Amino acid sequence: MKKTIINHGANLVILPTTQFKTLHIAVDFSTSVDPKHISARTLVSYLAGVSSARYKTQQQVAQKTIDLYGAHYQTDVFRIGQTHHVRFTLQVPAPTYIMGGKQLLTEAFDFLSEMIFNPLVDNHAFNERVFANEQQSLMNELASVKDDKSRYSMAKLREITYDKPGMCVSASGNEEAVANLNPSDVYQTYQNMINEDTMNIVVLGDINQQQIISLLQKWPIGPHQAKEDKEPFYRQVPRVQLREVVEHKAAINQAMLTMAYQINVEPFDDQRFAVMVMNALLGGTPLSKLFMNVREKESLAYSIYSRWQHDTGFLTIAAGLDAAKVRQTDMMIQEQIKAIQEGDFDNQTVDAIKMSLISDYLSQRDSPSSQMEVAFSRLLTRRETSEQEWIDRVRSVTADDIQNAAQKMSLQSRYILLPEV
Amino acid sequence: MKTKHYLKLKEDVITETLDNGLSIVMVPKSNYHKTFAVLTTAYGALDQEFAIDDAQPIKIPAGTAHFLEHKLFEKENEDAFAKFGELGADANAFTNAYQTSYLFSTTQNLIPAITHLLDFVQTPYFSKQTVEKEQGIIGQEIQMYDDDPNWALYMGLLNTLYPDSSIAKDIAGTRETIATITPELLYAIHSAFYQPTQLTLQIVGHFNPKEILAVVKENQVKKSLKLSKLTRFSEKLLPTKEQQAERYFNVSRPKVAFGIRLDQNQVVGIEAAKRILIADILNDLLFGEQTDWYQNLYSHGIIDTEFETAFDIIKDYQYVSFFAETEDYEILTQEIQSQIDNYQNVLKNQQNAFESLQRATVGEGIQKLNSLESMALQGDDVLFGTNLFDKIELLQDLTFDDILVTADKIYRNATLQRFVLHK
Repeated sequence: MKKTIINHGANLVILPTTQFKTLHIAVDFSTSVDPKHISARTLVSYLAGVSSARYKTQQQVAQKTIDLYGAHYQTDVFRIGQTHHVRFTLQVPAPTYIMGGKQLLTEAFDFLSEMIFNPLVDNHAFNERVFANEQQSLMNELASVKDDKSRYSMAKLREITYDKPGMCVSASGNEEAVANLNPSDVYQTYQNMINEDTMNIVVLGDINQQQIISLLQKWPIGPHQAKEDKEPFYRQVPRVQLREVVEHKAAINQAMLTMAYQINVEPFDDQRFAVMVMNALLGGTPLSKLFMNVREKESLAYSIYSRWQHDTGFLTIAAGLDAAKVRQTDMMIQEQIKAIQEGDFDNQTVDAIKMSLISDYLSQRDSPSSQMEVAFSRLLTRRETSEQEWIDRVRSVTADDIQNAAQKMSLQSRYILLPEV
Repeated sequence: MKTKHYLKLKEDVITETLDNGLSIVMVPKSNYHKTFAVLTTAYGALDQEFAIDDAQPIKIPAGTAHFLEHKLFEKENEDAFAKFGELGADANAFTNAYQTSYLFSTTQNLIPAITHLLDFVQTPYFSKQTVEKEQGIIGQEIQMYDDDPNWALYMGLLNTLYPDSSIAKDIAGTRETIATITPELLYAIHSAFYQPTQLTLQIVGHFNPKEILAVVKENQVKKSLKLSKLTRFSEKLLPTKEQQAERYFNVSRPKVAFGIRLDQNQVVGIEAAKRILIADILNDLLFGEQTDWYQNLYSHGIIDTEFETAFDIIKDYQYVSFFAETEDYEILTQEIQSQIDNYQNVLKNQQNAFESLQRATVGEGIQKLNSLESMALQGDDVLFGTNLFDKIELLQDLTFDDILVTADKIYRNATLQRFVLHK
């Protein structure tokens, strides 16, 4: 992957391809997670999503994306381990497929530059009218997390799993913090983001490298941005004592059972491939033990899965189930883990799971956003595993490796949401 | 094999109907790694009654199409779903109001996966024991949807628009209705709605069309599948009872849905596909983010980015819908009503706005063509016989006059109905 530095500040990766009928630009600002700033950064992403000095209202932004042939403009926040990201993305149809689309590339870069670098500001503070709207809108969004019992349960599990305050908050912050923000604080947060964050840019489509570089050289990117590069990976010292919370909530029918296990493997240890296969075997695929035994054989839970988070070293399990069956399901989940620890699984299933992991991996090449995600991940971690190496590593995982990986699992926290009786 | 070239979009669609009636639609994409295949029958949750070879009509309990979808995966000695996994393919299935589809995607073992798809869908195995077990799992699934406020909102609106009709019933049915399903009923439905004449196989992605066609032909020739005459009965729709309805739910803010039911002007085929495209642009002109109407409500906090409009034609059902999250739903009701009452004025001199929306909609259509899944599933193939490429071409041919004519059909004398999910 070839990296270019723009204006001594931003890392740029260009991915030329004619595979797709679209053109994509994504700009990522990342910094260490600081719980004090998460909510403000999220609000920045909301504000930049609907306004700029030139496009003062959401209406004008919407009109502009219509004029860009139905462009998808989006701002997002998320976290990878201990880094927090504000990301701007713009997708437009590839100029080849539209009539009169010659200027589209230039216009797309100008529009994105405007939205990122030219916010709607009065006297060193975000415009009050837009601020009030977006603050409310973000508070509504955060409040509605409670309406979705899976999201809510995962947020609660996060709170009790991590020791570091920054790791406990969701990437979007919290309602109370958002309520206390004001237009000038948030503008300061924006300034810090623009001037101090690591800035990475990925562009994908039927494009010419030189043209993209010259378009980006017009962007007002300062020379100081790469000053501090943060590693996203986070690892926590394992806890001896299990943390458990049981909560009752009115007006839900089904219970949620969620658990977080730590697997003590360093981020770039080769064992990560074994952990990945082990997770797929436990609950990451339809061939997995949780799916086949807990759901299909015993009908205990309609939705059940496990997820391995490479960035934090945690494996989480979540199940939506009948409230009367929580204990039984929990026991059965423990039995599945024990079975893998003891080597009670067949080679045929493991081979199938490896094939499906490899198929998923290759399928990512058919999605522009997945390709871009891979490029970002390489920029952020400064590591690159080639396609062939990745496939070979997955193939070479042995039954012993899987058993070993499962033996490293240590239950750290359990959160149960039950209907009120 | 017939090939249709979509020159501007640089896409080819190859179609073929086999001697036994099975339809095949192929879109080769040689620069992709993956292949996506779907086998679909035009049988969904709306079908309530059918007859085979002029015999006595048979009633279908609510939730049966979806139940059958689940059950087809379970065979006497194997699990069809797991077998896809063994091939390294990623399989799934879904049932909606008007279709049931079985699908997989893969980068390897394509031929065995395609024959497996055909075999498992065309070889039913139902027993008393497996049917009873499924009643348990689906019971869980129904419960899961019961906790989903967006689903409750949508169902609430449909119940207000179409009281007691099959579209207002959960696709999964209820615990009571699925309890009446028997293996005999499932076999009867399978032989009616899954005979080759009712099935379409779509394949999109990296493959060789000739090779695939030969494999599918060989597979079908080996099977002796009985053909019979299928009669479908369309539903008699009851008139609307109430203009407003409500329900209490576990939500942090009220969710509200509005609908306008259209009983006149039943349309089918390309005309229906076109009407949906026109209505979507029309709704954008009246209620889109770029309108003063939207801006005014957004800046007063009456709507937020959750606000959306839709227009659907599903067999005999044709309706406009609006969804929002707001405390101020009384004001929103008045605002929607007044925009509807005023549609002729709002649309005056909107020719330019129409043209830019048309360009944008075409652009959005082109952007959908990256995804093999969208190409196979987001067209109106089952309902109206139009794929995603046809839709882009139809869009390019629309005129502002189409908008004005359709506006009269939809909004002249329209009755707005409302459903609120209270906190």
